[in-house]
Amino acid sequence: MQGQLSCGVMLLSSLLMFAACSSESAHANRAPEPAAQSTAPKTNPDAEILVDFKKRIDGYMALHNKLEKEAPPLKETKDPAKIKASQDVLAMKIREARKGARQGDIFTLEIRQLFRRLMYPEVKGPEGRATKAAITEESHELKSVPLKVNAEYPDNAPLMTVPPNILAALPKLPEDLEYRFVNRNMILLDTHANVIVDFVPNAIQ
Amino acid sequence: MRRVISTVVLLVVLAAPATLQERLQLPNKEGSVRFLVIGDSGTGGGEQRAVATRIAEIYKIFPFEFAIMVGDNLYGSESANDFRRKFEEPYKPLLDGGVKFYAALGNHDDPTQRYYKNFNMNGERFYTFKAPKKGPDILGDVRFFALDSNYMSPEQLQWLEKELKAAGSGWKIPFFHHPLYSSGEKHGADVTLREQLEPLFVKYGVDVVFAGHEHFYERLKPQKGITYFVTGSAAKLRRGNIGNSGMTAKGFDTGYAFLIAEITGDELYFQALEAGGKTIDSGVVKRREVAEGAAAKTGNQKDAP
Repeated sequence: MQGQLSCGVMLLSSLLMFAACSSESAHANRAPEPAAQSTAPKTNPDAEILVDFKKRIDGYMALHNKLEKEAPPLKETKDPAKIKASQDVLAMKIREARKGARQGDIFTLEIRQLFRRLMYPEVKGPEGRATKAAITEESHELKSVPLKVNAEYPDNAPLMTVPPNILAALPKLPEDLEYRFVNRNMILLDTHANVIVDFVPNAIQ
Repeated sequence: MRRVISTVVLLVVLAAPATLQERLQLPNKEGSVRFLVIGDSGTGGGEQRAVATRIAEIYKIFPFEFAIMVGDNLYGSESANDFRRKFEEPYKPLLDGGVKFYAALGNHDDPTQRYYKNFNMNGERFYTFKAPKKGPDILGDVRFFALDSNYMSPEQLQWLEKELKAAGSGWKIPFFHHPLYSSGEKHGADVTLREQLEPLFVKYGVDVVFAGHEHFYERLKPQKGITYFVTGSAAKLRRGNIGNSGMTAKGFDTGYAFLIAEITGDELYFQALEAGGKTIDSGVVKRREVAEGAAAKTGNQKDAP
């Protein structure tokens, strides 16, 4: 994961900084730095945000891995009931353990803004049309997906494709976690538990 | 009168398999690699069962060893009963006959399907397998690559390149859900996916690609030397959805369909059939490396049909 993070930092440091087209951006304007701090060693603010993101993901995965051990194992089987049981028990345990979880626990305001910025070049202008189309392709079938932390991703809703260029622009996730789109919103999905961990509203501008 | 009826019944019984046998347009050669391609199959509905029944009939005269599923293996809920209704029961004659199914994930599939043993994914979202090689006329391996086109991560792309490179000079056949080329008016081609995958397919000598997602059958005119098939109508159908892209070699959007294929030597024979058993497309794809080699010698390259 450290290596993946380094990749993300390198990627980020090469990106141009520009404001996110988000209603949240207005609230995120930082106060001017005091003059005395201008001589302090410079750090890439995006890298700091990514470190924070990694910390939050690691925290979630520690919980996931602990609870996974208490659930029926997810292993190859001819009996699909065992797969479903493993999924349902883990989902129940995660919901119980994260009873108080709220939107923004993983995707904080700064992380949300950074993610929107990272994805924006991939969806803007005529070049981004195909990416946007792939993300929103079957959005009419997603009405049943609740944009809610700890909610189940419904069986009857398709999983929207995450285009390769979007995945390349975002930090890599550990196995069992995925980015997915629900219309223009991005969710963090625990695929073993089939539970929505957090989400970014209006991720695609 | 009874004798006449008996004779008629006997003739019908005898004539049915013979007709199907006659309709088979593949070499059905000893030692060849024979397989089935189905896509968007897991509805559990009457259409899936009708197609599955026809496939089972074909299997009797064309005993393929394995089947590839190009995604949307189970629509909707995925309880044990759903696996039974949408997969195990419709394809029971094939499963009983020892046919191995190899699945790729579609956008309607829960990724945990990879743990279902009958899909032979070994717990992996993307994987490769080698077809059983029996005949001496197949040089090299016949290798398949099941990809997860819903989530084409940089890691998957790196894995694919490594595996394609290691596959050597034999047949390399990727299959996945979202088509890189399609004349569908509903979805169309997945251009962002094509930008990533096509250069690898061209670089490493892929000749044939199978996809689904679009609920019809389409064979595209070779694109950069590669023949693309869309086979997403084994249980769902989007009538009249093939548009005029100029890329269609053969399209069928008025009925449900599946495809059978056979590799013998450097040729892949294919035959697409509709649920009633009529052939809707057939032909042969010659391995490009070989075809180009021959063209260099003779100056007469033969395009895939």
